Amino acid sequence: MRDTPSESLNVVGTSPSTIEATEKVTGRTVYLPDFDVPGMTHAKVLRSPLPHARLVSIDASRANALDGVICVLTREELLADPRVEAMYGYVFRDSPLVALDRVRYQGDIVAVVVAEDLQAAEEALELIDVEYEELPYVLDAEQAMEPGAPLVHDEMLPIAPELHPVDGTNICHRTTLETGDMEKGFAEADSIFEDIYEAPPVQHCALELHAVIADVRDDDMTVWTNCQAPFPLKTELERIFKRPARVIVSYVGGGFGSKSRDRIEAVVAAASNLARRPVRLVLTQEETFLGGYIRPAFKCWLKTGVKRDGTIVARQYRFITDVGGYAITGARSANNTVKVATGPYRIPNVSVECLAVYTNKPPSAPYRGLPTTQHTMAYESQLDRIARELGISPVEIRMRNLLVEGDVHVTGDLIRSSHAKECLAQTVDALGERPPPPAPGVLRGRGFSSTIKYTLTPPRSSVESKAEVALGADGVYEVRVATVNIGQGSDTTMAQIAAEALGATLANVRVVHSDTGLVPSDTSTTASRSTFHMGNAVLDAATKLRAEIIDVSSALLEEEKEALVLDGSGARVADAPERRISLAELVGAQGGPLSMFGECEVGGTYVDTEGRSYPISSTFWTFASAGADVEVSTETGEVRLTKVSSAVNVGKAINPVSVHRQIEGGLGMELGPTLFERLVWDDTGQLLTSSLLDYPLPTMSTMPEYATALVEPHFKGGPYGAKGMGEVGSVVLPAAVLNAVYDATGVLFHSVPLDPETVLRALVAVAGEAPGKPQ
Amino acid sequence: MKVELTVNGEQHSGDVEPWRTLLSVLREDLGLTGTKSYCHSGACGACTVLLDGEPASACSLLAPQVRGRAVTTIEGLTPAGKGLTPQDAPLHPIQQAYIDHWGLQCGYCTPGMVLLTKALLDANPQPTDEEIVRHMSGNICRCTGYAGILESVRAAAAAMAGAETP
Amino acid sequence: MHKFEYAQAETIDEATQLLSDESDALVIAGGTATVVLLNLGLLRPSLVVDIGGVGALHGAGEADGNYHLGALASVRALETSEQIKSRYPILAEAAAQVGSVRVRNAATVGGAIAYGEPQTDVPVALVALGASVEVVSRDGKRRVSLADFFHAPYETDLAPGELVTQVEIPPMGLRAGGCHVKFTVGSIEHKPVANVSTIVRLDAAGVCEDVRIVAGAVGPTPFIAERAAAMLRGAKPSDREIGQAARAASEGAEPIDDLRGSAWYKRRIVKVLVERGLQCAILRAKASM
Repeated sequence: MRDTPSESLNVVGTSPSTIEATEKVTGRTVYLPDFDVPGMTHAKVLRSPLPHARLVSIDASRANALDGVICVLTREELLADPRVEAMYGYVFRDSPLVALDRVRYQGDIVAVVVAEDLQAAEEALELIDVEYEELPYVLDAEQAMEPGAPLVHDEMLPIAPELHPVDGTNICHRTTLETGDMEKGFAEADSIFEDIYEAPPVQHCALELHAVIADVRDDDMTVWTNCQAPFPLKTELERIFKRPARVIVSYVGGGFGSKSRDRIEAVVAAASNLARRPVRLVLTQEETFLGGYIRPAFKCWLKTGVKRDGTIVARQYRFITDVGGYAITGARSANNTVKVATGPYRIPNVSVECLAVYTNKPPSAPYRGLPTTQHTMAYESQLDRIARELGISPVEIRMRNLLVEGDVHVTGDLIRSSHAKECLAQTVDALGERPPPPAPGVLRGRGFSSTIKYTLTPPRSSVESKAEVALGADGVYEVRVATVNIGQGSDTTMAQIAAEALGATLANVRVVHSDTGLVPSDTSTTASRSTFHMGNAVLDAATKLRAEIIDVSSALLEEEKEALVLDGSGARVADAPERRISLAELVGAQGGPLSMFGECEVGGTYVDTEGRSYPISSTFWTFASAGADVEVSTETGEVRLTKVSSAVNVGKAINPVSVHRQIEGGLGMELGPTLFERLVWDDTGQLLTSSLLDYPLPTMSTMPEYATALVEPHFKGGPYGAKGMGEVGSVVLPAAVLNAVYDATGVLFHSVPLDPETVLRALVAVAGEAPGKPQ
Repeated sequence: MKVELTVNGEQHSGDVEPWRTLLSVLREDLGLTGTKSYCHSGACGACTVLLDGEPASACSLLAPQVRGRAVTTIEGLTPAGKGLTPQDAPLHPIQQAYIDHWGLQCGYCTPGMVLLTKALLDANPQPTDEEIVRHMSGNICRCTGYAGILESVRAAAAAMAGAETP
Repeated sequence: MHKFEYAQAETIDEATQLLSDESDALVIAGGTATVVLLNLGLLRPSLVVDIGGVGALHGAGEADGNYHLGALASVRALETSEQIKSRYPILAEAAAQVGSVRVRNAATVGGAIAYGEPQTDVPVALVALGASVEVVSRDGKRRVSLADFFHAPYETDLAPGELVTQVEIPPMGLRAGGCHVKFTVGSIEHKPVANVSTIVRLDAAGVCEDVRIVAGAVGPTPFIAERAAAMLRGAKPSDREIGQAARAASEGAEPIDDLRGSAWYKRRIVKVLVERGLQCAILRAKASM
């Protein structure tokens, strides 16, 4: 990675509005559901009404006979085509494109109808005759681990090498992380605390529905989708369909993790392959809940040993995530968070056990922050209980334990940038004075949380992101990146980095994004990684292009390179500005566009100045804190978040306002699962909360006052010192609220959401009233 | 059946099945894809249009229901001068405020939010924060946490108060 | 979407004719509930009768002391109308708390009544106001008190072929105050845990002459808390009496366990809302003296 300054910058560090904002406010931005391709047909998915059943027979002849129906994809057609693989998955290969022998959750894909119009497709769904033989099902991850529990999969097929299923069980992944000596650690502790925490599934509710247009031909295929990982998808489609694939992602109306790595593109492509026509599927909102894009149910056991002065000496942690009927990414998501599961603290003796378990619920998808959010909720909430028992303030106990530069993380990494204490201090400051005493019937409280977040990091050195920056005949720089614009301002971030490196302004830059036919490869737009990884790749490419332009200009102007200055209009001699060449002229003189590729290589080991070598478990760690002020009604149990603050170590904010807004967005989104969102199933595995009418989301009425702060110690290796932060607002929020409610009520809740009834029941119990009798 | 619609000041007439929603006719028949679709149950506001200047959920209206009423979509908001292409039409102060004050991120809720703001400020040019929140609360945004939207509405009110009505 | 025939009525007669000719017909006015249910495939009528253009169903005014509201009056109009705000502030207050402004613009008072959903704010307030509806069919007209109009969730006194055309509201009277309060989890646009309309009328000495307490979402129909109201009639209301009445209302309601909360919790909320409603209604009644 290049060494770059954080100061004396012209474009990086300023806060222009996003380059696509005008298009968005006028409704001109074309999202996937907004366009057609010629000859396009329409698909609808037949989904299983049962959580677990054998697929005895399926007969689509009546559906096929309906006017307007082109074909129906069932297991018969899928298995009949030797050129198409039936199973999907590049992390876990356990989901068929359509059900083969069984269905594994209510909503599982049984068949796909392709018709000339949506109306015919909808009608045809009702004409497919399916016979199911109900099987015993399991809806809870702990129950799924008990001996004798129905097995969701007979065979487990991990692809990613870090996943370890336990054969003969529903455990699709089990791993542990250990350091130090647990027995010794707990023996040294003056007090030991044990707590259990839980969090239910919720849904991301990105407003743009999942959609796919697939056009599969004999020799190649094109898939338009709103997926957050176009290149891995391309590779997987090529494996399944055995022909070159192009994946095109336009602007995406919100992702939050829900649009990464699912099988839906492969399913629609299989339908297109059968129909021999382009096929579009747009999921309904209900299907995004039923179809398997949910945050996994979570439970954990946390045991912490501390000294009298609050120093944490040992931490034992076990967590279970419910991946649902197919692992797809659920197991890896859980595994990725093992390294941060015990928090941003210096702990010499640590043991973490991670379990990812199949159940007959919809497959889980990554949800902003992954289980890092729930880990933070657990360890931060317990820490406040510990603080209270020991008579130490919550802020003080954190200050005593937070990691600082030079500490070694539980994974063996050297912490090279922390500022976690500064984040906490700024969070406390930003929250300001405690509000005045409340009215009767209302309790007020304040709570804090701190966290550590990782980013996707390869086990060995590897190039994870590539970019291209080109200068075309129109004199405009074109930045080509696979980073998906999901609303996080990625195009603008990349443009700012490129413009800075090229001495240009945003007006000289345009961005082409996430079309595998036009841009170089990247792993994914997830895990808060894009600013660092793609930003570095863009910086690399732009720096090389700048050198090339200076070289060419030097030859054309017959001047020494050192005498030249490059800006948005072209190259000129610094002290003789009339000796110049415009960017467009330069391209003309070259006879064609100039372009350079750049890359970002990460991973491997870190060697310090003394030659000591440390593993790199995370290319960068993001430290952050949040503070929350709440009001709790003793009459209704309602918790209102009145103010929330958060300070994040971002290294360098490429676009400071954009970063503030990301933090606000993360905090605001997680408010829902913290205070009222939860998916509910009945005992027969039917999802009760499938409509927005039964699933309250945060609105402007529930919005708190935000006070966000950026801590910017230049991060060596980041583009202009920047590192990622997109998820961290979500990650820190629930713990801060739980702690605020603890402060207000004296009740330490061990689960979310803190909906009014849950809170009132606890308050009533504390007051000694018998629940069940109105007082 | 024959359905007549007035959309963004233009008359449209066509043969439309009565079970088609206004949302579907706007997007598919008239190519006005600025109005978005998410929940199909009137809960999210992504499909907000103005009906005679008042906010309405296009997903919860059958196309024939809006005969004789003026429908405004986001495409109809910008004051288009004669001969200007859509790309060149100046922005409404509300749109400019949303850009300047980060009232959007992914942009999907934005057409609905902008029209909802227009209805508010046309009826109440100097709303209090409480009035803004109550009015805007029915439209969902997943990205911004709403702070940027509130600031944009305040800024739009100030801009419109200081300028002539477009 | 399910396919259906569609007819637009211009007059009440046309509407009732269409409804009597086709038994499997659905009336739509604003469409906030009906079109959503059509979208979700939960309603599959063979004929949709659009009464949105029936001019005779608009309009409002006074006649023989009572206030008459056309069935097509929008909830938004109830919220903003100066007439309603001055005559029946509780109705404007209830209307203001319905859903989002998009919903309030389209939803009609006739639609809210005919839909028969036990938690809708406007019918709850109208029951508290002692309102009645005019129902018209091919065979004639009849008048039904709203207190008797709701039989079960989504089941009203309307027979096939009948249409709600008008709501008639008696005056609130002197020294009367009303209050509509509602409690929702999350944001106010969502389905409520409970809502309560309270009307108190005082005599010149400040004694409760009449009290009406109606709770929505806590029973199969809007629950008229008669026992609770009776506790306050003839007395000068004190905190103790208010508390007792609230408790009685909470015990008399019949909420069920559902996604909004358990029956236990809903009863707690009824008690809280009745207390708040009574305190507020009494203050407003006093203020009008």
